[in-house]
Amino acid sequence: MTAQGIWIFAEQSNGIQDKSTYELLGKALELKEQLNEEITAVLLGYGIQGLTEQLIQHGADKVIVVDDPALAQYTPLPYAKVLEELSIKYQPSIFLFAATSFGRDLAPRTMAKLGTGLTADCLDLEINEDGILEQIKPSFGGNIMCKIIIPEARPQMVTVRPNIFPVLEPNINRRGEVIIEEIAVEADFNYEIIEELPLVEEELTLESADFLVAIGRGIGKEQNLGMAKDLADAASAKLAVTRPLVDVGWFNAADQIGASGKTVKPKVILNLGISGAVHYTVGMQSTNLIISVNNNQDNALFKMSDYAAVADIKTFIPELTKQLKQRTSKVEEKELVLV
Amino acid sequence: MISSYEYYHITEEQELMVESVREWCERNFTEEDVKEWCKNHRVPNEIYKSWTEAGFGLLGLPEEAGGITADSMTQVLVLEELQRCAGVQMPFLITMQCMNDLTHFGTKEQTEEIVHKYLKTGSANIVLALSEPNAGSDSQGMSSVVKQVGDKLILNGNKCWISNGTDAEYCIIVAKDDDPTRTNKSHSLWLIPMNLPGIDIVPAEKIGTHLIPFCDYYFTDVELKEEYRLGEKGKGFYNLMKNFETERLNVCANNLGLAQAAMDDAAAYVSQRSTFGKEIKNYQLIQEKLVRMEIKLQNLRSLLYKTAWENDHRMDVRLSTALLKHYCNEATTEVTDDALQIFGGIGYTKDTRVGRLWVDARGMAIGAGTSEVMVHIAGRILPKLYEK
Amino acid sequence: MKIVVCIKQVPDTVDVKINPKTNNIDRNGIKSVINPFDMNAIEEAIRLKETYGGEVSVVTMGPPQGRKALKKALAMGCDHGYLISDGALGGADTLATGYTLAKAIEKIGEVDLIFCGRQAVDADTGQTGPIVAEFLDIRQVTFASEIEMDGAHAIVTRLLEKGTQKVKVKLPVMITTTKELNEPRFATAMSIMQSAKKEITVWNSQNIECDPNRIGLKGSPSQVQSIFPPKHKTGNTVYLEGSNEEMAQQIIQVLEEQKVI
Repeated sequence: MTAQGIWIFAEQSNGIQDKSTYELLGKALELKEQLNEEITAVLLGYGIQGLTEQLIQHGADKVIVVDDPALAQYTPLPYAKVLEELSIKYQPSIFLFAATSFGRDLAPRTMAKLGTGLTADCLDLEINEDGILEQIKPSFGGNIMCKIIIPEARPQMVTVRPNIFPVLEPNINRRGEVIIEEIAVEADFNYEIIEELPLVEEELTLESADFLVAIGRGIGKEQNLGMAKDLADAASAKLAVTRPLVDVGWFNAADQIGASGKTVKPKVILNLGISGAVHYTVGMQSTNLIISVNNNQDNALFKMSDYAAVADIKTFIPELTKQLKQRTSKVEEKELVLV
Repeated sequence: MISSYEYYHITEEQELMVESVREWCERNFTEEDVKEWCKNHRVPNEIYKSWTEAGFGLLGLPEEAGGITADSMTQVLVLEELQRCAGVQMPFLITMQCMNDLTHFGTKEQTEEIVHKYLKTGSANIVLALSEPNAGSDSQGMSSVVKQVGDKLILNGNKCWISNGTDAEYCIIVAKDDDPTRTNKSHSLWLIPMNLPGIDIVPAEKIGTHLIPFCDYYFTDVELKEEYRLGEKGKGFYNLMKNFETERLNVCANNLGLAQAAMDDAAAYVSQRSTFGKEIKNYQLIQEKLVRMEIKLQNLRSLLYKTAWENDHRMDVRLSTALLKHYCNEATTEVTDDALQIFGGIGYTKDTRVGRLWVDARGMAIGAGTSEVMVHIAGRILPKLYEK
Repeated sequence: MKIVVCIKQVPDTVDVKINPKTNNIDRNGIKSVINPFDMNAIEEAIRLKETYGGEVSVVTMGPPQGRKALKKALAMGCDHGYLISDGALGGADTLATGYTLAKAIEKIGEVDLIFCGRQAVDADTGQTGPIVAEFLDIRQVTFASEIEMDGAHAIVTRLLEKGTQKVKVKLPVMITTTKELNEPRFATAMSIMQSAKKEITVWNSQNIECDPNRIGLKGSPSQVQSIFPPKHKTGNTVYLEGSNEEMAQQIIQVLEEQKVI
């Protein structure tokens, strides 16, 4: 039978649905309009049936659920085996995963089992006139964009970077079918999760912030980092960095934007002292409004910015911080008066 | 992909060596560090140690002394890359040369302690004292002498321009045996501990090459022991001269690296600097400079590698090293000068390193063989070579 | 312990452009180096060998110049190099590449640990490791930021988005490495000299018994349909002017309009 259906791997851990799944469902709705095929969310785990509602509301026509104690935590072999069985049984045409560490671990294992093609880290997906999925992804750190297709093998598997596609408003009136698949799953006792240490939970992460202040090599010496942190604080923004600042050990990979870092999509980003090499821009180019400050006006980042200013950031940053603080105290004064 | 390295018979291992030297430089210091070192007139001890730990400081030393057997080509490639990356006359050439001379001419007992310290710290606490105020190029004109007075050996004399001389614990000197006059051709090499009474160390200030501090030594009635003598009595200078040729090869590799660094900087600068509304790379006079600079660098490199190859194949390189040093003196001073000119005003400040390259390259165009002496050597060989 | 490291040779810079005439990537004058993430893999393999004993083999699939990458790995401290080179392997996607590498590792035999870098800086896929693991039917652990051995098990700390996870896995296992794992050593002069005596074995697809339908272009379900330069938003940039004070004021205005402050 010919392969049919758009599948989304519904990534959950500890019973919490990852936001990226909803992003994929949103994109799938777009693809559905061209393909006219059903969207199925594939949900694996233990005691996770409560998640099916949200999946349907976000766009799934069906949710295939495999609920088994052996799947309580993610381990590669059991998960990949289940997906293999399901794929062979249902023969989907497209199978989307988020390019999270979860997806990047699971998707290639599954793809190898199925002997099909997998395109990683896609930035966009389209259906061409032959009904085939066109997968657009960056390579060479984002300097070259590739359009890839998997003409024959099925399913056409793809991992998509989180934070690229928007999460659409859920439709609470949407109805869908939940299919409980009873598959015999064997836990992998030779893969044992012995410890999990979450990062110190911060209220504001790079991905959740509306306003990001990003600094690059232009910040100069380590003693200048203080002024950047002050600025971020004064603006209630999250501070992000380019790769070189992680390489010298001033920041963690969690703070980094770029091809080997995070992809972000804030409302506003303020770039300070960043040249705009492609491996950086590929991580933030979907930002709504881009403001860039650099002492050299010949930089790639200016060309893609909405607002650009030529200044020495070492003197500009304190000025901006000063004005932000003055503004905050004025606002606070006003509030006091109103009270 | 064919690389011209294959033309020069450079092996894959040698290529990896060059890559490793570059990595060592990138990991161990920046241009800012070099500027700091020049201000202090010294390279920090950790850098010496790291160079030896990485094995580069052991190249060419005999294996019994803990060294790594390496041919001329390897040493030349390593020095060239070091200088190109560092952009300053580094002292390793001197330490490696001194250790080489020491292990060549000294017995195990004489050299054990120094070699041990070198392997541990990378600092060769010995130096070579050859030149004198009245005897630079004219080595025969030296008047330092060791006289037998009763049953004692007494040294009197004055050596100058001793590279790295200020902190040395030991010194290898060449001195005449018994008779200080010009006609006496008998010299000996002596390994002298610098804490002997009668030795005065007077630092000298140079206009460049700040990482290799110079000083003068004054020897007044210094009492020596026979066991300080290295090698045979009377053969001192002859022994040293054999190493001059390798020294010349290595010095040329050094200077080529410096000149190449100048080219790296200048040829990149022409795309960054604009005058009269255009990047200066668009001006023909600048283009001509770059062309001439590149030709000289490629020529010098070819000549250098060829000479190293000849040395490795045990050919007589007296003529080749003389021609090489002569050409190197000219070519590297011209290239660094052109680079300075391209930078213009800012090149004259310490904001760029081209001024340092200019003065450091100029120094080694005098040291280890002036062009005039090279003419003296090569000019007498050539007629014999072409005699019909 | 027998360790295999899979490495890839990539261009020295990612700053490549498309040649408008050929519509292909302009590789002129670009040097090849070992994929930076694979360097961490090599380093970890050597470190484990030094700590626990064993030998490290390094494998690469590619054209003849892949030899240079292997030489570098040997100079760093690996013991044996394998170059899988064959015209028929050209045009391979990740499935075909993973298959080929797996066949080579099968031939090397009795492997305890396989290391792969987390992604290649040119293709950026990060799939090869898990695919190789699948074809060899062994376990996989990805994004390793720390590794220890415990008898017949590997204790691997994984670096995930929201934190770290420690996993105990029974050998044999395939591990993909991250930059945070270690600092790759540079090859010392001694190590380079010693590597001159180390062997590099060259295999073609038949030596490793590859099914010709599963290698190269033939064995590749995905194909690159086209490549093009990224589209950047150009034009419409508003250049702010004036003193620092004035420009800061203007920026604050924009931020207020956007309601982010």
